Amino acid sequence: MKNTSIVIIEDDEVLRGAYTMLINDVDGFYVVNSYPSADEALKKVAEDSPDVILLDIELPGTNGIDAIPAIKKKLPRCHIIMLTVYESEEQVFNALSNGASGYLTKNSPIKKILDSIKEVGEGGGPMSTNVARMVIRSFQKNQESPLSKRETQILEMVSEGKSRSQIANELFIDWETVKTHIKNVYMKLDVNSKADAIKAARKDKLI
Amino acid sequence: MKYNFFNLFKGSATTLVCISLVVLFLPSAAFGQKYSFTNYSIEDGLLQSQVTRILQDNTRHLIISTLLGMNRFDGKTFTPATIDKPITGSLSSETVDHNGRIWYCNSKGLFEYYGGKTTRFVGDGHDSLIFARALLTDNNDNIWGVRNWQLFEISGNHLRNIKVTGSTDTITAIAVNKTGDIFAAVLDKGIFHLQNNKWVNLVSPALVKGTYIWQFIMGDSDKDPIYISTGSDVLTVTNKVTKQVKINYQKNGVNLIYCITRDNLNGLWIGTNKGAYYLKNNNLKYFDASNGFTNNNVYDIFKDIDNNIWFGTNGSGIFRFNGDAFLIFDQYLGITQPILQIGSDGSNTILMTDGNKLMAYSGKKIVQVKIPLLDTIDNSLHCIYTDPEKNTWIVTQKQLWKKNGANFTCFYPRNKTDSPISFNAVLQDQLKIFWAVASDGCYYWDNGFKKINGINARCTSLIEVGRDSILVGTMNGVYLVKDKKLDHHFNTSFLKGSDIMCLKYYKGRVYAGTIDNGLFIWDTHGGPVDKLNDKNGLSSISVYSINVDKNNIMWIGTGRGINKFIINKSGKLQKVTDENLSDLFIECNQDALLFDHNQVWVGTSKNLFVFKNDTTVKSFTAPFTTIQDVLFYNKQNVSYTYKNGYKEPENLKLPFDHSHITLSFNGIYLKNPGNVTYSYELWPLDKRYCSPINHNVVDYPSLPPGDYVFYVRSYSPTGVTSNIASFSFEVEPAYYQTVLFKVVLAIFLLSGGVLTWKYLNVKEERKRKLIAYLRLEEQIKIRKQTAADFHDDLGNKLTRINVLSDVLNKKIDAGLPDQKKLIDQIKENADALYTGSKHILWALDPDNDRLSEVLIHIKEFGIDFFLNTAISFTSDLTDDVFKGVILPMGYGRNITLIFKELYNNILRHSGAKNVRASAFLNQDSDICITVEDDGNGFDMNTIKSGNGILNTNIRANKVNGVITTTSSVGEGTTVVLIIKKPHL
Repeated sequence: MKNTSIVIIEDDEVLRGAYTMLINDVDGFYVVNSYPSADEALKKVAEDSPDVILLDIELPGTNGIDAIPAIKKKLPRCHIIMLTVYESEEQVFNALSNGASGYLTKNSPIKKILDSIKEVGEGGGPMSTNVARMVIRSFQKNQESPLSKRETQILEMVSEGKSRSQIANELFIDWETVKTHIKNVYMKLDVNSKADAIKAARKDKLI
Repeated sequence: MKYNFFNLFKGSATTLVCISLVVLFLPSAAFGQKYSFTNYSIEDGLLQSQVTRILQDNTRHLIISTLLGMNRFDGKTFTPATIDKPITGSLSSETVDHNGRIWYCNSKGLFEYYGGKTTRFVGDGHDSLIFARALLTDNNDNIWGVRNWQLFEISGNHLRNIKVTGSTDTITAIAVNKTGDIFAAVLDKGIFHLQNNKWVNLVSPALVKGTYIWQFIMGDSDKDPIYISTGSDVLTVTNKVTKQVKINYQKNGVNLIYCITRDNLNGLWIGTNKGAYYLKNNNLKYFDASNGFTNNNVYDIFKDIDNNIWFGTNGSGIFRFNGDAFLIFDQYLGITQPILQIGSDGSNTILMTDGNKLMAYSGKKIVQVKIPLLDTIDNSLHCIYTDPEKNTWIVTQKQLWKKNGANFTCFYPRNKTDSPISFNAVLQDQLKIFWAVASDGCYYWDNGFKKINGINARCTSLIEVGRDSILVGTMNGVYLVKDKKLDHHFNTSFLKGSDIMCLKYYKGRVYAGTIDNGLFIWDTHGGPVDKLNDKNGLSSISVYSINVDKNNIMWIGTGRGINKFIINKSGKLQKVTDENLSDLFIECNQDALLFDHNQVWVGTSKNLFVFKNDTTVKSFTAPFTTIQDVLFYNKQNVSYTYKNGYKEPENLKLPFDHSHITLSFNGIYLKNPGNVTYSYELWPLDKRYCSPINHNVVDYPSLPPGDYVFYVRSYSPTGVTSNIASFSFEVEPAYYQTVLFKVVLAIFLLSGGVLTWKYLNVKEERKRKLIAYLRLEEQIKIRKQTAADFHDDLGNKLTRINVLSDVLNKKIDAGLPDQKKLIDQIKENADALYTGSKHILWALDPDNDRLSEVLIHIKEFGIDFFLNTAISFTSDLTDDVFKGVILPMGYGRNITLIFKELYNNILRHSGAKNVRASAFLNQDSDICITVEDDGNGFDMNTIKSGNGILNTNIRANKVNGVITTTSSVGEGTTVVLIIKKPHL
């Protein structure tokens, strides 16, 4: 079995060293190189030609997410696993959409990290439990909703049975504004009634 | 055109028979003077000139019957009341009742006129032709009349024939006395008095036997005589004696008596076919054209309520007798030229001159007095003066004559060497020095006229102002001559340039009348100069003559009439109103005002007036004020009422934008109608009556809305105040001025204000909330960020610990389990710390206030928590109903912590294989979350409440919830958290 070559891009020197040591201790894995920043990594990583890159997000200079496309350009076959303390929805999705293969939070035990490295090699998409849940839940909502955030919010309130004045009061906006939003929702969903709007929105998972 | 009215009257007047008559006296009419009558005829607006009857209605208007119809007369204006053709007026066949209704007869019957409307009387439905010869009104407004020599009475709408003594009565005349009693004259049966519905004989047939009583008038009391007119004679019946009023009618060409009337002073007026007689206290006066009246037939003589005597004549309209307060001498009496100078010769003869000749009047006739040897060529008479020694001096242009008795002597020039002097006035002072002023200066007599040096103006008058002090009036002010020398210190610069017309010295004051500057008054001992002119009492600024009578009253003859002033103790002049003078519009002549006995002689540019200087206080009557007309300028329906005989709108309401109203009023004062003044007030705009004014119309162009009452009263020339007439009307408010509108507007504005305030408040509140919300969001964001940063930082550090622990673990020998355990503990704690911080972060996200999120968290936590354990975790925690439940802040964290504790307990103590978490909303919408396990269970009685249970209870309290635990040994445990429905 071919050893899996790994590059670690991590600004924390201690972690960088510790991860290198822990990974190198395990058979079948070896750390080709480790870099304290994406910019530095990009200069040499092509030469390293790793199978997997463990990439932190918070880095000096170019951050990890932004660096993904550049790395992918140089190493199209390389799998990138994000290894970070961040687990906000935005970052997870940005990272995944930029081409990351997995997303691990830093509290993941070393075993999980190694499993994940293996997994990507086999075509999997390893993720921390929280992240995985987040991704699943996001699939439940249509990411390409035609509705604005405010419109979605108002439509949700409408579906909860709230009256326009209640919505206006809760959102601290004018009754007229609520009306305009609802009108826009109707237009965007091509419906003529509240019931139809809710029905259409549920169907398209807009709410 | 004149009608022969006399034919109506002729038949009965010729049947008179004279009975035993006692000759009272044979008075003779005074000759040589003219009386003052005021005549009104067609040129003044009278309908026709043949007046047959004069009456007065309750509003003081005169009702004047002519042969063409009737007029109402307010003293100034004639208003036609009825115009009837053909001519049917008949003597005495009119009466006016106390309400102002006029009853009259003509050939078509009996009519009633009121307020512009004429109604033909139809008694009891029997439309018979009622042609009454005489009509009267009694106190009860019953109408009495005579037709076909029979008496009838109209009461209400009923006409009934009245019998006095029997059916064969011939009623020749009826009369009413002051108290309203009715009397009837029955031919050959005497005069009867209606007392308590019975006819009582008052004058026996014997007393009037053979007398045809054409007219009779009752006295005010039983003692007064009854006057009877037979048509050709007048009789008096007193104390059962009948006497003839003996008048030599033939002397005046009188052969018919048309009417008799008594005045308030018990004088008797007799209207004849030629003029009229007045008999009072055996003194008879006859009035015809020769002394100011008319030669026409006098058909009626009427005494009005103010004792004015009015005459209805055949062809000259009506006359008012102005009393004998003054006489006029005019061309009828030999005055052909204006009298320029008047003097008295000290006896009983008045001397006067028209400039051409000297005339004398001694009570009967004005006769010319010839001055023998008078130079008659270009020698006009300038002045008549009587000195203290009763010599009368006649000053002519060329000569100075002295008259003593009937002797005239030429005083100057005495011989041909005397230089001719044209004197204007002469004076003999108390030192008996004779003074004379001429066109070229001032002279005194000292064996020839000596001229005073320094006076070069044309001198007009002179007076003595003290011992040897003579004041000379000239065409350029006045000069003082003292001790026969001009006093150069005498300063009357205020008179410089004034043309002095007359001078008077009275009680230490000099009065100087000027031609164009009024009267100057000053004290010879100094003090301010007073001026009197047309602004403060004079009728004109031209003062021609001044004189003071023995009653301390100054008479001033001006260019526009005569004014009288009383001189009070401080020398001030106070105007005296004399009704006989106030409407005399005459131009007086210079220095032609003479007091003689009780008469005042005034020469004017037309006539010579002789006034009675009567100082007895008279009781003056007041005018009677009525509202005459109300004009307004909008078209609207108003009902009209007849008040005072005039048409007045009743309940007049004017719209606010057409509130223009004009009110005219009338103070009826028949004696002197031209000098009535008015004072009015429009309540409530005016606070008091205005000062008296002359005009009788007031215009209010734009009155504000409100209720108004217009009050007006009038004053006679002597200041007697009339009744107050009033007229009420209303100017309606505009809709925006009504109380209702104001209230509605106020409510509208108030509610508008409240709503606006509320709206602004809501808006403000919303803004405030939004700001608070944004701030909160910002805070939350910062907190979240801070927590995230903290978490990230902590995460990195913990990761280090974790990873380093792993590294250490690898490097430690497997034979050191204690150390390895310690390392694991370090790692576990670091993990727990990491997870804990993540939970805090989760709780800070407001999205996680939703119950659904909290339950998902509990669910995921459960999955994670039991993931690598022997316990299988299942849940039923997701439902759409939970999405709508929002929890208060902090609830989510406490709820999740409760369940972590519970999961922990299960893992550590229960020994369960399965755990199930579920949630639902009960019927009260309380949130129920349950965790049940199939573990060992425990005895509820033995369990000690450890820290864990205490913690969960405290947390449950914080979320307004209760934790119920159900367990028994071997049966597993069920824990339910019930949270009261949260109210946000």
